[in-house]
Amino acid sequence: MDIRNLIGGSVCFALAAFVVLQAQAMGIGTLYNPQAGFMPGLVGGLILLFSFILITQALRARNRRVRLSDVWDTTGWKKCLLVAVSLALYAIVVSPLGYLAATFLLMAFLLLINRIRWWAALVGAAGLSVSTWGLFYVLLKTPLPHGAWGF
Amino acid sequence: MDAINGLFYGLAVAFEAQHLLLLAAGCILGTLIGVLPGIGPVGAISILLPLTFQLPPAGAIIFLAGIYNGAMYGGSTTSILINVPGEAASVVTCLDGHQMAKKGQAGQALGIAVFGSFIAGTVGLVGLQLLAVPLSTLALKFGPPEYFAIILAGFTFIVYLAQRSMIKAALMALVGVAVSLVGLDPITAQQRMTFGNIHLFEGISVVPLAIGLFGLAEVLVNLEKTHPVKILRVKIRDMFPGKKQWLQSRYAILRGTLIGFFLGILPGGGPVMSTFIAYGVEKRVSKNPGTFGCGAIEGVAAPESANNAAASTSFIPLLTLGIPPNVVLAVLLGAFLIHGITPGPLMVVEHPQIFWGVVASMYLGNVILVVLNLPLIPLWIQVLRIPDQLLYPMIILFCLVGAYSVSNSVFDIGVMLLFGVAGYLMKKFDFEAAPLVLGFVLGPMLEVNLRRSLLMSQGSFSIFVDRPLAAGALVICLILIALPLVRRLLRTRQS
Repeated sequence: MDIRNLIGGSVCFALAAFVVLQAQAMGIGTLYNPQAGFMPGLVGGLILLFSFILITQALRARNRRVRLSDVWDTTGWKKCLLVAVSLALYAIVVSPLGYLAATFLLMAFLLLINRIRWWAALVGAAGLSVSTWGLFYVLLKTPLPHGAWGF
Repeated sequence: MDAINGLFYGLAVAFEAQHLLLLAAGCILGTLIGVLPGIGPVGAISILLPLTFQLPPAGAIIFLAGIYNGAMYGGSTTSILINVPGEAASVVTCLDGHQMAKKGQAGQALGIAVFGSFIAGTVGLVGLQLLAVPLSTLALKFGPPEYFAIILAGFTFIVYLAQRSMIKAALMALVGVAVSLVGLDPITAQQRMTFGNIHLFEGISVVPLAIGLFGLAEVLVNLEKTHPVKILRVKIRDMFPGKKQWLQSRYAILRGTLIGFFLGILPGGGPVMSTFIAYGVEKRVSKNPGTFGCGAIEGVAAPESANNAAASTSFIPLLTLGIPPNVVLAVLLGAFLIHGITPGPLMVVEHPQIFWGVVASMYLGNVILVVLNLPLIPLWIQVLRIPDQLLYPMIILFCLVGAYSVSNSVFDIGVMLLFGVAGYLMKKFDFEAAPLVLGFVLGPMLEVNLRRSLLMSQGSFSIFVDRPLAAGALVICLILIALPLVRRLLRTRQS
């Protein structure tokens, strides 16, 4: 059994089922008058078909077994999870805190989890947030989020 | 305007001081990105796109095209010197390039890579220059059925030329189409899969999607590994290939150029695929195939020529039909649209300044890259010494600003993060991201042309068979679908 393809195929199958249900709700129409759900229905149906083939292949793969531990063979995924969570938090706080403060906090965190010394992390975070602010806000006039403090 | 007059007109555009500066900046940034492992041209173009928002469209596209070409040149440096490909199109160069470096021939390997790239890139551009106008004229006669059949053939090529499983590539391309359907229906303006969220009414933008899949996902995967860069201590000398090296690699450059030229035009082909095929062909035709993998100069010349020829010719379908053949050009199409330019058959007539300016600037870019690349190699080696702990947070920051700047929306940061995590998981589960992005970009074109065709024919599929070009494209689809099935059947019979 190939667990990678089994999981991947199952995720695609679930996604396709959702798309097909949505297509039905939108209205598929007819061939001479296709409606908004026509293409989602067609694409969802094809994804269902291909994901079914992939799942079947994965279940029948006897000579090349792939286990979940082969996929997660490193411990580095915890760091990836930390980065992803910190980016999600950044997306939440960047509007109320403003670009400079939120970016400073994010960069300091990312540098610290990469084992940079704390003072170097703070200096680096300040440098990165201020320099990108200068490049994008001042030079390129990108309206970066201001936050409550106005910067 | 014919091809010769067009080129002179384009040169006048490209030689404007601002465009020349942007071209040089794009080439240098592209080379830097090609040199640095972990981020390829797709991520780079997406991340750096906000830098172009204040620029005129011609300057913006010249800058982005410079990044693409620069990345193709720069990737070989890391492949040869540290055995780590800077981007996917340089993977094959590692095999013989690094072996040459170990033997003290790093200069020759770098030299033949640069000169092979220059020759092939220039030949590709001549093809682009000569084919663009006739193809644009022909494309003006296409209707929805032709466009639908050509895009469908493109999808079939993408799946057929997939680097791993065809089933998985097909799935990813279809998922890309499904994601592209989010937003308002293009004909009835009905909401589709928006969950009532106002940010989804206009659909998902290609830039945060590409930054997530190719920028953030790469960083996340690289964060897992700790691979201290070991740079080979080599003396970079004799970078101008001698008579012996030229004689050894002349046919490899020629074959690589031809392979790259044609694969660049095909959807799903592009620079990466062409390098693998060029290397395979070279090994097969060689009188000494045993030398491949041990430092054969042909093993560097062929793939490096192929990827640059493909990079040049991949602009042909984008600029003449408006159809991007590979994922980098798909992101570049997004950049065109953001700047209010729709690539396609009318582009050469409606925007000659941009069309010919881009073509001419790519010629100039090739020259700039040769002139800059060789003397700057010591600098690129120093760049490789930037520790990952500093580099990755910097890339993440540019990903964030790049995603935000497209529509000045925090929502796009969320989209980037979602596709970044999805891209990371896809890498873990061995699913390719490129078909997804191509499906995402081609999906809306496919839908609109299919529905228009059906409306035209009152629901009859005969419209795709009655029109010769559409029928021809569908026959190609059928052949491409049948080939692997026939091969499988024959293999089963033999065993």
